[in-house]
Amino acid sequence: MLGWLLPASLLLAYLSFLWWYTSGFSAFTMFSRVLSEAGSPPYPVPELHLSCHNGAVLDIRKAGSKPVLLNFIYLNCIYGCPISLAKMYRLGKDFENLLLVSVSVDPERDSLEDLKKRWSALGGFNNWLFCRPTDRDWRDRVRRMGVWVYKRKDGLINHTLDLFLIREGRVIETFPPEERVSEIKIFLEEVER
Amino acid sequence: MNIPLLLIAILFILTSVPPTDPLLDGSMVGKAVLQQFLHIGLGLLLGRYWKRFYFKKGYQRASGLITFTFLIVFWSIPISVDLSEVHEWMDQLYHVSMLLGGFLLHRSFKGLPDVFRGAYGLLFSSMLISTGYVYKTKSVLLCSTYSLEDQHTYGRVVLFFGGILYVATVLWIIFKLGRRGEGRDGRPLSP
Repeated sequence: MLGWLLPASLLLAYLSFLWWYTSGFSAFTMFSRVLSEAGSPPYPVPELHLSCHNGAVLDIRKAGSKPVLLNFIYLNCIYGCPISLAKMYRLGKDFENLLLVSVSVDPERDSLEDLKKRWSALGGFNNWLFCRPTDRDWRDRVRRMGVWVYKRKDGLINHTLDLFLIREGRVIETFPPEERVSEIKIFLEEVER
Repeated sequence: MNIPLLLIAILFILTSVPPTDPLLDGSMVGKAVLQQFLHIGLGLLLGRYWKRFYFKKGYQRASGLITFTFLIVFWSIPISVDLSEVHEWMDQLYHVSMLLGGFLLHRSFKGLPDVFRGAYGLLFSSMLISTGYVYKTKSVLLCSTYSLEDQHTYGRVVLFFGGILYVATVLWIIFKLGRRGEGRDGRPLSP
């Protein structure tokens, strides 16, 4: 009878391990794990230096009291980025006080000129910047913010598609890719008030 | 020298190192179906030809089945698939744990009552079906090291195999366990 303690203990040990491994059965993908490692909002934005299409050099932490909506893209992206950019476009039109920043996760290929062309093609809003990170260890820095970037063998890049709302150097909310624009708008209206 | 064991070792090494491993890792189906079930199969053969470490007690068999199930669940989680692509040591751990899983499955199933075999077969195939369904239907990327198409193909294949295994288990239960109610000559046993 005592022997049955072995399978019972194993079951308990495996379940406990899986609970720890998936951050309490909530993070089953690398995207959600890295996001949960960054902390729950509000959490501080790591130091991240960006050079943008208009020649500006930006440190997200010092963007002021104006809310900043950040997404991560790359110009050759054919999957999630166009949808993410379309969301940014719709939000940029409606919220002029919001600073939109699209950060390239492929700074080796995405030149400032190409980023400017994309910015222009997407309406050329004054409150929308297309930037690329300049720090050598930018992958580590964006990871601390909750962004997972993986360059596949075929050259495509799988990365976090969440939108990050930042204010005064802190991420105050993250919006998952499946979040509708109408729901984000409600949240942004509350932030503006 | 034990020839079957040597062949198992050679096959395991050949399918765990380049050029075969990167080739199989190139798609989710290659990695998480072909390679996985190949290594489980090798583990089953290892159990058959290696005449040591037999499970004689019921609790040992239960522990073996729990560990096998844990290994399958663990390596079905998208983070694990990603980590095994990012870190080579995780990939090798994946291969070894699937071989070990097959071995444990062989040791645990041997001597297990048919009722438990049937129940475990249903549980395992249901697990495959639900895993396949999740991977097939999710429209967001789960594994960052593969594409969405890869993910959906993997889901379809696992769903298909899970379905076949489920039907096979049900038929096995009907014919194997159903015969228990019959006498040796095929007539129903009288009370």
